[in-house]
Amino acid sequence: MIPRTEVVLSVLEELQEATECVGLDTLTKVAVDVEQVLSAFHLPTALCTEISSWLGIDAVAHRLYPADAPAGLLPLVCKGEGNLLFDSASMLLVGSTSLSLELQVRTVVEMLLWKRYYLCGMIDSKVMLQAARFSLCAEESQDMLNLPIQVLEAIFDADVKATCFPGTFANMWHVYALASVLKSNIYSVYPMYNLKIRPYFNRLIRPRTWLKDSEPLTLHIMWSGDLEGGSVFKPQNFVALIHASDLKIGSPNSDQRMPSLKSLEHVSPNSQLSYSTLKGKFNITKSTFYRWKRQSAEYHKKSVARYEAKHFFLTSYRQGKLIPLGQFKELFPEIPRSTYYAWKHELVSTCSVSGGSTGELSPGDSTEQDYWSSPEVKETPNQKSFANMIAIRCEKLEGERAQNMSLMQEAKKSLQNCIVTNTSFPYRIFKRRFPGISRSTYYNWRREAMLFTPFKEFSGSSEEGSDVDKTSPKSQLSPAMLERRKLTPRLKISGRRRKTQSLDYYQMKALREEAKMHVQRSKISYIKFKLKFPSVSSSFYWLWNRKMKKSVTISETEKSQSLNVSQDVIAKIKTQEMFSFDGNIDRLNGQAVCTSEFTLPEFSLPDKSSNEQMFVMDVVALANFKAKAKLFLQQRFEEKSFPTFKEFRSYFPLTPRSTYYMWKRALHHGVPLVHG
Amino acid sequence: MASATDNRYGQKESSDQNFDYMFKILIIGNSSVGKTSFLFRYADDSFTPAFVSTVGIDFKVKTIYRNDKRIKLQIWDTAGQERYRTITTAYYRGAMGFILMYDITNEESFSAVQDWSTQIKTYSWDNAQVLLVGNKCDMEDERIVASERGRQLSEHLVTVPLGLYLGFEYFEASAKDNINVKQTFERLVDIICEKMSESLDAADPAVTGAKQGPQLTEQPAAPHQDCAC
Repeated sequence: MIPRTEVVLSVLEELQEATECVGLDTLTKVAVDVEQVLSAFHLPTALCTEISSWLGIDAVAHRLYPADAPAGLLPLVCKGEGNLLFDSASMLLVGSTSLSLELQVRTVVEMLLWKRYYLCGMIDSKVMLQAARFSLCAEESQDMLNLPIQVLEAIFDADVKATCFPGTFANMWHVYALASVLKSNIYSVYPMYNLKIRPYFNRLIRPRTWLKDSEPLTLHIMWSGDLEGGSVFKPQNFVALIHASDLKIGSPNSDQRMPSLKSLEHVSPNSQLSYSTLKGKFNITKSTFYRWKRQSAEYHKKSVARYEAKHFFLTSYRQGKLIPLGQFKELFPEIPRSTYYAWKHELVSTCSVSGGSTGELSPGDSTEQDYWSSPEVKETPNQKSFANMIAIRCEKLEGERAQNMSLMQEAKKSLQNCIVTNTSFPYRIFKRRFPGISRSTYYNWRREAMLFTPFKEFSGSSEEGSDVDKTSPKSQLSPAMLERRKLTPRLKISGRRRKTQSLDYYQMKALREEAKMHVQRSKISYIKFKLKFPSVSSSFYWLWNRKMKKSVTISETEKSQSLNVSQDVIAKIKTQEMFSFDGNIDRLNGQAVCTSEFTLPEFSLPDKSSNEQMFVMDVVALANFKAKAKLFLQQRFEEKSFPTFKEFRSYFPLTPRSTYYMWKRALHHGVPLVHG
Repeated sequence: MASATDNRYGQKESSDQNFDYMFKILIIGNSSVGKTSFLFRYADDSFTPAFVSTVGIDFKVKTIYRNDKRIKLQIWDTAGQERYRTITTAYYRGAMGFILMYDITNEESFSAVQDWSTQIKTYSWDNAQVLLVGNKCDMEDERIVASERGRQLSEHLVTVPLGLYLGFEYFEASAKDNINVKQTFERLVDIICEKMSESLDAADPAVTGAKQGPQLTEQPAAPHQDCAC
């Protein structure tokens, strides 16, 4: 029997000969024969789970990976000529590029025999033709929209001919034809750029036919390329996207074998795991590298198990019950008793720290890492990277992965500390200290830290902390609300506190609900609003107003808690409000910012030299102070000379850092602090 | 290469194919300077005086033997009209040679040469070789652009910064009378081959990396493309 590749080569040759004739007729005739010949061979009907020519994760594509694409997919490095569409597909199907040429030949045949179908017969024809138009330029232009179908057909023909040669540059119609060849869906992932034309490229492409008795397979392929000027994406090549979870990297060389790709996923979005990248940093030999790689994979398994245990432990703790040792050991026999106690201790101390915080941050705090990592939970829906963070923190991992991780952690922590102490430095200085950290990572961390730091003092649970920045207006609105939300999980811990606090909570909530209803339904003016609801912060008024205009989604808590508000309740609330600050320091601690939000009409300027303890301070004065601080910040912001926290503190020593950042963020998000 | 799975690299196959090299060549220049006629003369040895504007882009393949090598030329005939400019530039990628053409009886087409060379510089890879061709030299009576001007311009045009490449080579040709057509293509192929062997010799293994190792023998064109990207 003639080997498959030789058959493919010979039919390809025939096709190439035929390209020398004018038009597509000769080529189409050859294609009919080729189809016959190739029908003897069958294509894989499932994705390959062993990548035999493993070259690593494509860092460029990884950075470009859009947020709306399916999670848990990793772009594979692939070498070849042209723009690698067929190589990518081959990687997904057989784990190497050995099938590329055959796929290419089959695609040519498909395009020749079903040309009419693709150009005008399929549901997606118009979309595909638009994509073809736009693939010739990065932005939508009138010229391109007017490109007549005859021109497109000419380009199609030329493309088909060109596809008879290796190193071809595939276009969108190749993707459609390839989907039909494979009788599979192709999910074409396009980076979050060139948004006007993106929908034509970022879509699920259905095959012309598929086996009716089963749901077609879906291959994930991504457009990768260069960013020009940071905003215009120029596609250069296709990249195969593999499912990180169910993949094993097989290779004849056992040294390169890695038990699970999961570990790679955890390393970091930006650090590509390879000997060459590591060699520069750590000066290790190749054998050491692979030994470490093996070891770290084993450690990784252990740490995943550990993480699962810890996660379970934490979750049950948050739900209000501390799982006893016996039960714990039953569930996780591999976790030693000492670890259990360490975690327990950690939890207890975490709780007390967050409960007693007065607004000043302690950068070196041991519990910080937990809070710190929580935004990642939000960003990556699968909790595995979070898992890794914890696992690694708990575990002294060996090997490069651990080194890499700890380097990153160190970098992250140092950046975080700098932001906390408001001495953050620009990327180029950061890079000098941590050469392995990419610019995007730096900015991600920085953003995270900026968002997270101000709220840290409130967070009773790291999970709650993560939705802080989902909508920008929310951060302006609600230290109070936020603080309430933070409080909820903690309330479950102490019953007595819970009762009193939840009472005010619901009462204030009810009042706010009522006020909100008024603002949104009857569109009352600001003056009326203040008259009617003197105790509700004016920021809410503007927020609700904004929300109405922008139709921003209402926060979850507000949605879930629809309460019937009676005048009676409001009256109660008012009295409650007036008399609730009776020196209950414990409560005030947790509510410092909350209470101050409730602006009262009369102000008196506080003396700077007076006692700076916040709890002792007059609430009224505090409110006034805040108003002045807000005004100050807003003016400076408008003058484009926004003060640093240090400068700000010199004027307003009593305003917590978190509040400063909250306002700063609000201003940067375009939310004014003071109106009128 | 007993089975499909044994063969790791798609490029390997090209060594088993009926050619040693494949060069992608583009003919560019203003509308009606005679690009399509030039290509038809070369590929089919035919000439039609009627002008039919090229729709978008066209494509011809010709196999030649040069220095004992079978070389497949993939010659792309592009539309010269301004409105197709973006389309044609999209096809610059991967091109190893350009024939930049003007019409000696048309001043405007000559003035546009500078723009076209900028296009090449912008959209193609750095090692692309360019020949400047003044077509329609059979129409001496209507000549507007003197040969000397063409030569001077060709010497000043560079696609590569830092003077690594000193000007384009220049031909006057006629598709109608079959003057210098074959010579143009053959010269371009020779220049590409020269550049290729130069960069292969000069290629510092530390820079080009091991990944290109297997490709050097099999597909000499590949290293260029890698460098450019």
